[in-house]
Amino acid sequence: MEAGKGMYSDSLMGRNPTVFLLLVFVLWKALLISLAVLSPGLGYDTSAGIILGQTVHQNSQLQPQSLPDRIALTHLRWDAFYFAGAAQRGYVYEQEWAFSRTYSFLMAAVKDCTLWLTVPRNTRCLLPRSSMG
Amino acid sequence: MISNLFHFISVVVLYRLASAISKPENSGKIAFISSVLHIISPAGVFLSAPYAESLFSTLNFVGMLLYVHARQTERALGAWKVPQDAYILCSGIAFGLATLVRSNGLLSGTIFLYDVLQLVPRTVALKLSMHDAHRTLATCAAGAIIALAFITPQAFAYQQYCMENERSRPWCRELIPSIYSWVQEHYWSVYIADECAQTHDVL
Repeated sequence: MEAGKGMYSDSLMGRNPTVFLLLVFVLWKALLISLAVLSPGLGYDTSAGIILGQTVHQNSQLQPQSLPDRIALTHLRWDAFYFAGAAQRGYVYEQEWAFSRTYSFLMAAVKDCTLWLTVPRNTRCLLPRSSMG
Repeated sequence: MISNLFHFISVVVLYRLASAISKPENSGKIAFISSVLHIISPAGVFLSAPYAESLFSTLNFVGMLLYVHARQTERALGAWKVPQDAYILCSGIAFGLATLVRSNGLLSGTIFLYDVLQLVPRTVALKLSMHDAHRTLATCAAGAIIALAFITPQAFAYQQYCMENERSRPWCRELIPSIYSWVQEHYWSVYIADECAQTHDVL
């Protein structure tokens, strides 16, 4: 490292910046997600409930049971809801065109890949094919 | 989640980018501060949730880093050759992919536009060197990739809505039939450069 980098050369930041950044990153994300999950109540936007299988009428009883559900509820808001919908079933409504088809296609592809990799071999043939379009 | 992964990649790329463009005596500090700021970005959960933001950020920074490599190696070599072409075309591809993910990636094209415009006086006076001409061509090609990425999704939309029946949607008959601007205006009352936006909403 050049001498000019000063105090940073000897610290973890100087020696291995990627590791240091990863540490800060993980800590910050943990903080953010905790804040999101621990925020009281259902929040102002419970659209995620539609994708999670709960209908509009059941909103008052919408009590997320598990941590993954709670995380999904807080993350699938606003645009994310549109991306997730488009990833599942392609574009249906005109306004969905405002949300990158490339990105929702990527989401669907990653989901398919993860399912493919984690599902046992003998049930793979039974996986639904995601349709775009 | 892919958003988190791409946010982290974006942070690392920004670190490299900041290191590359700052003066050697400052680069450690600037790179450190900028990448940490990017981690604790006010965008917050948007960079973790399934939004296009973090992927866009990564691709944009990668495009900038590749462009910086192109110009820095050009300066070191004193010439614009095939490696520089490769760098700048890959930069165009990165920006193009960014534009596919979020259409305001088009604005990254201003980096290329600036370079080309800088050479316009010399081009007009026919005093352009081979080196500069080569660079201009490569830059234009890279810029064309971005433009293509911006237009293609809208072309698909046009094909789906307007080809069979021009009257099917109001935006089909515009001079530039762009689904993006119409959808933003109609569904979300977002007007591009319209100071009367609030009145539109009320009336």
